[in-house]
Parts: sequence; C-alpha cells; structure tokens
Amino acid sequence: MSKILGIDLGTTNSCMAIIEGGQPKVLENAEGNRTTPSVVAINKNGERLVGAAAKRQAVTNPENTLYSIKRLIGRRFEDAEVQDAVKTLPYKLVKSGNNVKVEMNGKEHTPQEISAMILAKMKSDAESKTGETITDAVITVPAYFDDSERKATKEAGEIAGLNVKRIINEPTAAALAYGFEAKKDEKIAVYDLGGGTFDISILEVSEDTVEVKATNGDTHLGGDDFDTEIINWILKEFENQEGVDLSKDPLALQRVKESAEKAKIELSTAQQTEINQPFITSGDDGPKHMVMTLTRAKLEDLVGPLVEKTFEPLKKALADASVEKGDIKEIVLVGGQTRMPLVQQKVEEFFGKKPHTGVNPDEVVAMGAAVQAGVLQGDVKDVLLLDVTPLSLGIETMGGVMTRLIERNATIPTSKSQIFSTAADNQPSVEIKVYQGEREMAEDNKQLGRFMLDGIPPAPRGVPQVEVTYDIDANGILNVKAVDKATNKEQKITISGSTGLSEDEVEKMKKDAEDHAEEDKKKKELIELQNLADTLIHTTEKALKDAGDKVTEEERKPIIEKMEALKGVKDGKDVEALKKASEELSEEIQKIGEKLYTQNDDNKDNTDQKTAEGQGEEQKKDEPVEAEFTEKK
Amino acid sequence: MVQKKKSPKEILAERDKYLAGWQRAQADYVNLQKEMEENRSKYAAYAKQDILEEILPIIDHFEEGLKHIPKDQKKESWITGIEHIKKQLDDFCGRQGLESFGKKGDEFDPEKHEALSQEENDKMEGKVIKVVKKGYIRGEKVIRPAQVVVGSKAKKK
Repeated sequence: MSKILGIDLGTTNSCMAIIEGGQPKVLENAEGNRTTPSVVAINKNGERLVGAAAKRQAVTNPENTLYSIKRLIGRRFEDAEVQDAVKTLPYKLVKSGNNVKVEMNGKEHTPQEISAMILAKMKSDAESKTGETITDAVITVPAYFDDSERKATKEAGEIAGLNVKRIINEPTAAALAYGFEAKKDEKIAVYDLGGGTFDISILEVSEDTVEVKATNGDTHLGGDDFDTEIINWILKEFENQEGVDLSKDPLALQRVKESAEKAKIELSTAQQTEINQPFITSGDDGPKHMVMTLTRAKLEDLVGPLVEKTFEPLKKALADASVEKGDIKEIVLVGGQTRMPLVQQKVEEFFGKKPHTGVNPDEVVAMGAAVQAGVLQGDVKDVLLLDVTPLSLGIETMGGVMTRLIERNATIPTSKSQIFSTAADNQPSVEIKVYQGEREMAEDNKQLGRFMLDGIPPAPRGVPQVEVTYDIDANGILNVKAVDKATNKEQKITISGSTGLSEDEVEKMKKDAEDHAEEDKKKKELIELQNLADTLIHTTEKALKDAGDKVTEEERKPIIEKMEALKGVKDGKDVEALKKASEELSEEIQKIGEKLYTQNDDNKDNTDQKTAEGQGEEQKKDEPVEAEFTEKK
Repeated sequence: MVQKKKSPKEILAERDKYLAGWQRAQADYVNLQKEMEENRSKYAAYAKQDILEEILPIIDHFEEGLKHIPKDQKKESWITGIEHIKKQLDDFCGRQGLESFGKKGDEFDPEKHEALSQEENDKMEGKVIKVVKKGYIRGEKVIRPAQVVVGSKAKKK
C-alpha cells in the first residue's frame, strides 16, 4: 500500500508529512522548503504558478494572484467573512448561486479548485521526494469549520487526485503529534498563534476519540501584527535619530520589514539584537545608516498588548467548554509566533503549567495529520511500540553521588556497563545501591534495591575493577550485575517494575529534580571537590611514604603543612577554601613529584615508577571511577 | 486460574511473527545507519548553506557602501584596497559555488526573482528595471531570489 500524505492546508502556508519508520516526518517541497505558501497565480504567459513563485510575482499581478483562499472555501457569498474579503482582497470575488467564486485570468474558479492546485503541487512534490505514487491523504481543517467547509476541503483534495481518507481538526492533529491520544480522560488546550490568525481549542480525550469541546479565536491576530509593531517602532526610532520618514520609501521599507522579522526571531534566543542596515537611504548630507539596538524587554513592551489579546478568547473557550483552567492537563503550542518566549511565559502563567514545545510549531499540525495517516495505513499499529525509561537509573558512588548508567528517555531494551573501583585500601567488598531518579544525590532518588559483592582480593584503593551492568528488557525489568574482573566473582539482582511508576510519580520526580537543580549541582560540586581532596591527600601520603629518604625533611615540611591545611577544610562546606587548599597542596607535591621522576630516570627503579604513575591527579576517562564501596562488616 | 495452553500451530505462528519482527528490526537498523550516513552529508551541506545565507546581507551592504564612494575619491589607493577586499569576498563565494544573478533588462521570472514593486515603463514591460538585491544560486538551488522592480505597461491617460 502506498503512503498516506498528511497535509496541513493553511491560510498562508501549507505543510506536509508522512510516516516513515513509524515516525512522522515533514517532506520538503520541490524548492527544498518545509512549508509552501498557499498562493496560486496565472502569469501573463498563461502559466500557472503555485507556492513561492506565485507569491514572488504577486505585486506585478495582484488581480490574478490568489491567496487566503481558505477564508472562502465552502462559504456562502453572503457570509460576513466573504463580504469582508470582497473589500480587502485584490482579486475578484463573484457570486455563483449562493456560493462564491474567484476570478483568475478571466476565468471563474471555485475556492475548491484553487485549493486543489495547492494540493496538487504538494502531491506531486511528495511523489518526487518519496519516489512513490501518492493517492491518499489526510487533510486538516480548523476546528470551527462547518460541514460545508469540510466537504469543500474534501472536494479540493479529490480534484487534486487525492482520495481524502479523513478530514481532521487542526488542534486534534497537534495533540496527535504529541501522542496525547493515549491520555485517557484528559483535557488539552491547543493554543495556535499563526501568521494571521489565532485559534484556541479545548479538547477532551476519551476512550477512543478526541473531542473538541470548545473553540474560539481571532481571525485577524497573528505574527504579522507583531511584525507591524516592530516595524513602526523602527520607523519612529529612525525618524527621531535622523529626521527621515522611511515609510514613504517602499524599497527602504522592505529592508525595515526584513530586519524587523529577523530581530523578532533573534530575540527569541538573545536578550538584545542590533538592527544594522547601512546606507538605508540618502539625504542631502550624504548616506544615512540605520543602526539601533532592540532589547527583548522593549520588544515585549511593544507586543505585550497583542499577547494579552489572546486571553479573552481563551477564557471564553474555557467557559464554553465548562472547564476550569486547572483541569487542563496539557497545553500544546502551534504556530510560529508561539516561539516567542513572552507568549510561552504568559501561557504558562495563565495555566500554571509549562506548555509543550517539543515539536516545531510550524509543522506540528502536518505531523499530526501524518500520525493519523499512519494509524489509517496501519503503520503506527504494526510498529513494535518501543517504551522508554521515564527516569534515569544509576548507582550510588563516593560521597553519595548518583552516577547514572541509563539516562532517562532511553529506548528499551537497552544495556550499559561501567567499571568502578574501591574507595579504601584492602576493601574486601562493595555494596551496589541501585537508584532511580533525576536528582544529583543518590539519597534524594528512589532506591530500587541493593546487594553486596564480596571476596575482593586485598588491593590498594582504585585498583580492583568491578564491572557493573544495568540491563532493562522490553518489559521494563531491570537486571543489575556486578563482576569483580580479577576473580570473576559476580552478584546480581533483578528488579521488576522499575518503569512501573504512575505518571504522577514520574512527573513529581522530574519536577523535584528541576526545582532542586541548582542546589543539587552545588552539592555535587562540593562532594566532587571533597573526593578529589581525599584522593590528593591519599596519594600525597603514599608518595611521601614511598619516597622514603629521597625527600628531605625540609622538603617534606611544606607539603605536610599544606596537607594538614587541606585536611582541615576537607569536610567543611567552603568550596573556595577547599579549592584553594587543594591547589596549594597539588602545587607543592608537584615540586617533589618532578624530583621523584628525575631520580627515577637515573636509577630506573621499577617499583617507584609504578607509584609515580598512580599519582596522576586527574583520572582518564576509561580508568576506573571510584565508587563508594565502603567496607561493611 | 489456569493458563490456557497454546497449540503448536499458535506457537509456530507466534514464532513466525516474532522472527519477522526481529528481522524487520535488524533491517530497520541497517537502513537507519545508511540513512544517517546520507543525512550527515546532507546536513553538512545544509549547515554550509545556512552560513552562506547569513553572509549575503553583509555582501549586499558592502556593495551598497561601495556605490557611495564620492567621485573625486574613486581613484584613491585606500579605496582600491577596499575593492580588493571585496574581490576576496567574491572569490570566496565563487569557491563555495555561489553565483549571483539579476541585472536590469532580465525577463522577470518568479522562480528566481521576487518583485518588490512595479513601475510603468512600456519598453521594459515584464522586464527587470531595477535590481534592489542580487539573487544567489548554488548548483540548481536558488539560495535567495533577487529582489527586483518590474516594468509594467503604462496606463492610458
């Protein structure tokens, strides 16, 4: 069976995706772009243009360039939206029966036919991209589309040669892209702020359906309005600086528009950006340059009221759905404008929880359409559903640190090994404590089990090699095994239900880790420093002992002093003092270290050489990591 | 509760299903590796294109700046030096496979040109009468369309 194409047929841009290897994937069009402008034109030579090419020639051919056709599809000529369009759109709209038709190159077309031209381009681009014939599609429509608008959209698909397997709601598609169809009895809000329109939908997922409980919005509010605010600010700022009004100069205005859009995008990640357009215009006194700084704070000042405007429809939608905002379990963001940190922050403030942002908001609807397509073609069902571990799994090591072996979100089945060693000389046994969670200190995580591996032959600390292996099978059962490499003695434990935490528990643990991230980091840093200090003291003592009379009393004295100083602060909490004392001791010991090396070179004493090797301050990656395998009696 | 025993037929069917699934998974993995290799080189090309796209506005501004050299200074040697720097930049673009296009008199082609506005000009109808920003092409791909002003038939008075 051929692939089913998922299509987000948008007002300004359209996007398509397919399922590949069980995952939705956006397909690029023939021009190599991930979205296609929903614009159709016939040029003076009678050629039909669709997409970017049609958009680029719009100003030369406004009466034969059709855009925003989605505002007309399936509507009656008398509808307010159509009457509005008659006044604002540059192409001609005519009444045909009760319905509306558009004129292009002297010929009348139904809106379905125009949408079909866009769909036909997407179909043919998808075919050349995948090398397969595409006959079936899933197309998305706004949740507020009525029967006639849905029917017309389906017709458009059929005219384009596509068998429309299903028409689905855009917010539903967005929820599907996040896999929320599995969230039984949950309420989801989909906040869609696109280029020209704002839609809010409240969904309810039940046993086998995703129902749109309410929808609201503003058909004339979107990213373009945000751009306009920035453009106006730049123009005013420039007029203040240079006394020139650029709004009358179309070519300069074009540059201002481009830099406004660029600034907006940059301010999603940076705190400030420079708008730098040299030679933007020429005055009597020579060329003029536009150089100004726009900060994120200023931008938020400018567009704040626009973001606020989205909350009125949002509250109405909640009221219509009889849902409290606290009942909303998931919030999905759709549309490029939702990349703006202010939008995300305001939405988070309103709902009191973080919205989902993992999927590209320009593509999330097409991705969801592909997911639906995958379900229809059986792909998604057939693929073995691979689970992931919701939380990291690790072992407690020296100082109570959580050392992760399997990171969270690892796809299972999986297995990981790491070599650990002893923390004390002649330590006969190690204790393996298995923990689950995201906190940096083991004790803050959940202990799943523990066991001892004993019979380790006497050896200095750091020498024995104990290989610990974590293995999770497809059912989420964790096997932990520890092997002493010297004796091949092994000990293991099986923990079932390591993934059996309820969703609330997992969420709580993740949130805990987030809340404590800073303090945990500091704690871990301190312990790592303490461990390092401990190793340093140990190696120093050993080096002095091994060196015997090669090191004079005079040379010993400052080292012992520094070592005592380090011992004094080692168990304290003062990070700076600890760092300083460690550095000082390390400097001091290096002095005699050099001496030991040079002497060794002279007399080629093998045993001394070995000791010197063990004194390296930093451990290489593949060398054993010291673990807290304290002696148990 | 007693577990229902499976018939040999069922067990065989199950075995075939698992074997097929396992083989598929192995094949998927091999294919994924191949695809990753392919994607790696594709992404490298993409990343390069990203950087090139960012350089284009700087070249635009450079060229715009050069246009503003006062006539009486054009022959001065510091200007010549700056022109040499510009040439280095052009050579760099050439080595990356970037070619600029768009000049006055070209037939307007929306695959390559973006019309910013049009001006009445009978002789130049449907032709480019001004290039605001040059376009760039790399291989077959238009990296950036040229921004142009297009001539249109003069309206009868």
